[in-house]
Amino acid sequence: RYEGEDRISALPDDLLVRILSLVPIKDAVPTMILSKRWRSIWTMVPALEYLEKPPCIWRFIDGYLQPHKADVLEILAVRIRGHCPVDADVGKWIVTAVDRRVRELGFMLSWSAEPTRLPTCLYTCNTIVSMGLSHRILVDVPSPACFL
Amino acid sequence: MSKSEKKIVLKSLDNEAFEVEKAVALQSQTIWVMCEDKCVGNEIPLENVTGQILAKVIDYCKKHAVVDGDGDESSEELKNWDTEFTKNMDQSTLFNMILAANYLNIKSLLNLTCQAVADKTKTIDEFHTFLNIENNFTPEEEAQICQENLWAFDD
Repeated sequence: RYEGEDRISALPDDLLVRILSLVPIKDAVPTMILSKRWRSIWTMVPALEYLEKPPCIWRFIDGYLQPHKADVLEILAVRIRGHCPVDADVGKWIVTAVDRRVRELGFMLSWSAEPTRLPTCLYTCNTIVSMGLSHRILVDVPSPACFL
Repeated sequence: MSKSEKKIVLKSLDNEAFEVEKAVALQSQTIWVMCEDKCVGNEIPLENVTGQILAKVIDYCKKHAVVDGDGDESSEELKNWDTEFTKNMDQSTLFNMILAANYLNIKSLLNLTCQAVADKTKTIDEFHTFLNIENNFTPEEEAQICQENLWAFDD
């Protein structure tokens, strides 16, 4: 335990974001209830890597992406196993990620659903520098695709 | 290069002067740019860092510099040294180290000090107890945030 007063909260936003970036996202998001200072710091964390197997991954990713505010979404990496709930909308996540100028995208869908087609905007997104898609994803790159 | 040209003097906010090897100081991108851009001689004033904090930053940079063949320790040793370095820092020191590493632009030190905070704060309770962050929401406000963000608090 640190003695004395709270100094860390006095750091500028970008440094608080840097600290939260080093905490697993599942632990970083609940910091919204720490105090008013921390209310929306998590929305600026630029990477969502969700490789665990929680029961409510859908709700978590929906909840995370909607109020997300970082200029660039550095990483969106999701690994989903098991059965597929009816309301899982991977396409919507990808549209949001492309809109948030995603740089690294990784999706591993090893679930029981039919192979998923991804939105075509993914294949013309010019901010992506690295992409990994695996398992039940139907990659149908339209022409002309344009990667820079 | 003569002996004197390899040395540089760093002057803290409270006018403490530290003479260090250039290779040690140039791990700071900020100092590197100052040396490149300005004709500052060999004394660099650092207006945002106190002597107490600068001394620690220099300790870190000395450990991480490779000067004339010295300092080439194994990465394992260096990692242990880093852990020890931040282990007993109080919050105030850590706070000032993060600001100093950011101002001096020493990426690895910034990562190390931010990681030291992150390591201590895995749960909300730990944020409150280790960092003494005071919850200044009213119970109603807190309940509302939780209610609107149920997804964030699923286990």
